[in-house]
Amino acid sequence: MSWTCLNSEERLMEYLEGQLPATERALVEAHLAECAACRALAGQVRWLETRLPHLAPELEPAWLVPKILQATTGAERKPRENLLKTLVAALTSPRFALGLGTVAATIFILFQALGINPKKITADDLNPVNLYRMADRQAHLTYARGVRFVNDMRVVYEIRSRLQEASATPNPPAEQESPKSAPSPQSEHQLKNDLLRRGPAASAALLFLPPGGPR
Amino acid sequence: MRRHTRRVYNLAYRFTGNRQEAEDLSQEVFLRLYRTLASYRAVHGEFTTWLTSVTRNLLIDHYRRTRRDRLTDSLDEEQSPAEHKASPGRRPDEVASATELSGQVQRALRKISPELREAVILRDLQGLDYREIQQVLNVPEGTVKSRINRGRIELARLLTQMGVHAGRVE
Repeated sequence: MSWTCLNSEERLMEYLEGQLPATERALVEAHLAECAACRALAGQVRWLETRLPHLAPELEPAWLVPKILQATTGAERKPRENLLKTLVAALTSPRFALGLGTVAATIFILFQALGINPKKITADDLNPVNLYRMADRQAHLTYARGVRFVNDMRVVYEIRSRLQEASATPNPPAEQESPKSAPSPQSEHQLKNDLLRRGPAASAALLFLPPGGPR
Repeated sequence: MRRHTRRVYNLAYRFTGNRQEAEDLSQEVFLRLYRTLASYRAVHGEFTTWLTSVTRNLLIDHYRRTRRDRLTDSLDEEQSPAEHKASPGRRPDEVASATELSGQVQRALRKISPELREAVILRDLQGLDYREIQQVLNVPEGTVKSRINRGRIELARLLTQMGVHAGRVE
């Protein structure tokens, strides 16, 4: 196989960089010794390779860097300023004040419901475990109050019905003529004492007693 | 910032050969970079390599966009005898200044294909190593070396035709 100019050209860079295997290097050197055109080309390429990296860089115009900065980071500042203005306007708007008031009222109601004193709040009060316990306790207390109220009301209605029965028994005809007639003074006095003994809720039944007191 | 701008501007100028286009493209590169900065990760390689990749992609887009205009320009250039006026016998040490050589290289670069042009610019003018060029161009290392080799040979022939000669291999 004859070594051509093209073969040498293909390996020229590796030859000049000293990276060719010994056999190919010998073939290229032999060809360069014979071929003046390839020898001249190799010389020109080697010269070019050494000169190109040292060419003076082209200087960019002075306005280019400021213009790029203005187009990139400069453009970013404007939205930030607008954002600040928008934030201040939002914080000073009546809508925000109303929302803030609503949030404060909600927090106050929650604290009251959980039995937390806002003036003496501690870190333990905000512990989720304690919050759950307080909420559980308040729920049970509310349920107990409801149950007691229902029981009291039951007593009140029971007493009222007995009063009506007591007032109806001694004088049935009078009851028919006048439904609002009062019970006898003795039974009324006994009933009042009975109600007061039963407690404050049962005492509310006194309100149902007819006005005028003992006759 | 200035260092990166110069690198991008030089790459764009060497590729397009036009200062106005290089300025516009440099701005476009940094705008794109600013928008996509959040997507940069260390796995993409060094920042410089990533910056070069973004620039190269924009240059290729620009090259495809302006292909028709460029064909017209190249016909005009062929009719300009001053561009090709050779100075026989002129040696490198006689080159008046580095600026003059820079202009001659620039004119020669415009005449080689974009694939070879970008490989030579990245290697010899931007100083990237083969691995970095491989990342930027997204081609195998063998292709990178082949393009650089062919690009240098074409550039050397064009400079010889323009009258810029080197000495013989020692």
